[in-house]
Amino acid sequence: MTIDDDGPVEHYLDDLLRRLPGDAHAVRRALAEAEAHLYDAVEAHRAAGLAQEDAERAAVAEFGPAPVVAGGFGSLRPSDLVRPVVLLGAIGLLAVGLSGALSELMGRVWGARFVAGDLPGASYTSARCADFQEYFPGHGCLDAAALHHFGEVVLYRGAAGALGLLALVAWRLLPRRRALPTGAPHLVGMVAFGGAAGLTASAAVNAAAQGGAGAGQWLSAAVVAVGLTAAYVVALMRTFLPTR
Amino acid sequence: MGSGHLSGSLDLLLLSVLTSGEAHGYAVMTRLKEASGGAFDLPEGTVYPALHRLESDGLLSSRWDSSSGRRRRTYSLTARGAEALRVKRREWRLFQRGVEAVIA
Repeated sequence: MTIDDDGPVEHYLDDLLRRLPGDAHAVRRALAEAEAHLYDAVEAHRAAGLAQEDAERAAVAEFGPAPVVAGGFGSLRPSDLVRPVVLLGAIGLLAVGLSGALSELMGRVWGARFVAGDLPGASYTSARCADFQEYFPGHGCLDAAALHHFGEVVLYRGAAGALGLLALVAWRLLPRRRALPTGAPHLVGMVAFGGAAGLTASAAVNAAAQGGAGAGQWLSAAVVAVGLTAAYVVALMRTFLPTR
Repeated sequence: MGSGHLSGSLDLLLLSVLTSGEAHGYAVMTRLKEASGGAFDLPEGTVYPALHRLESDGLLSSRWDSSSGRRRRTYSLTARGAEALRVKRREWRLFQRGVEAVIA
């Protein structure tokens, strides 16, 4: 069977390609199935006596308007979002874990007060000071509090990181569903971590402006968030820029 | 038959058509038209989103087949699909009896 590059079927497939949602794999598959179906229909119409162009027009008409066919592929269901949301959550938790590791490093270099010290004006009751100093004898109340909070920052963020690893395993085990629109996951990641970078950077600047105590916990989070935002931006650009 | 009536029953129809064996999309549509005596009139391309959805739900499996020269995706019913078909057939018969009782 001859294929006319300028015929109705090829024009239809070009139109369908522009409209199909989903990632490259899903689009390629849908397009390949449409092409096979259309040329099977053309062969049937030719066998029934139609000329090539008429057979192609009939096949395209029976297949349905490209917006209608492509629109059918775009209907996401809630279950289609589970796996991408779990992945985003896993990356977020792993990011928190990484920021915990960074906080630990900052604490070793610049001290616990830089990471988790209180802002000027903070105070504790005698009983609370005694609690802190029980675990960190030989330190003043605020230093002991900073050491305590520093330990919490590292521990809790590390736990979040461990949870992130579990979430990543869960993501791997979840069944693949319908693909999200091209670029959508990267856009969501960029916005989510970009927002987190903005908030944590603001908190770090605020702490720094008031003497620096406690800036480290926000700075470590901001650094990781900025890194992830940049990674998502790069991934988003690669999705839409033509490959060489 | 109007597409509004058909869209709600499309899963049942596609699963039923595939009980007679593995088929690619064009063959599925051909079987559907022949078995229904031409009663169903829907854009043929709209069957593919339904086939993909049934596959993602585990009711169908698919593979590429190039044995006839052209690369086609063929679909077959899974065990879960056969069970789902049984349930949908029962639901359809109940629905049909209910409608007939009302419109009689």
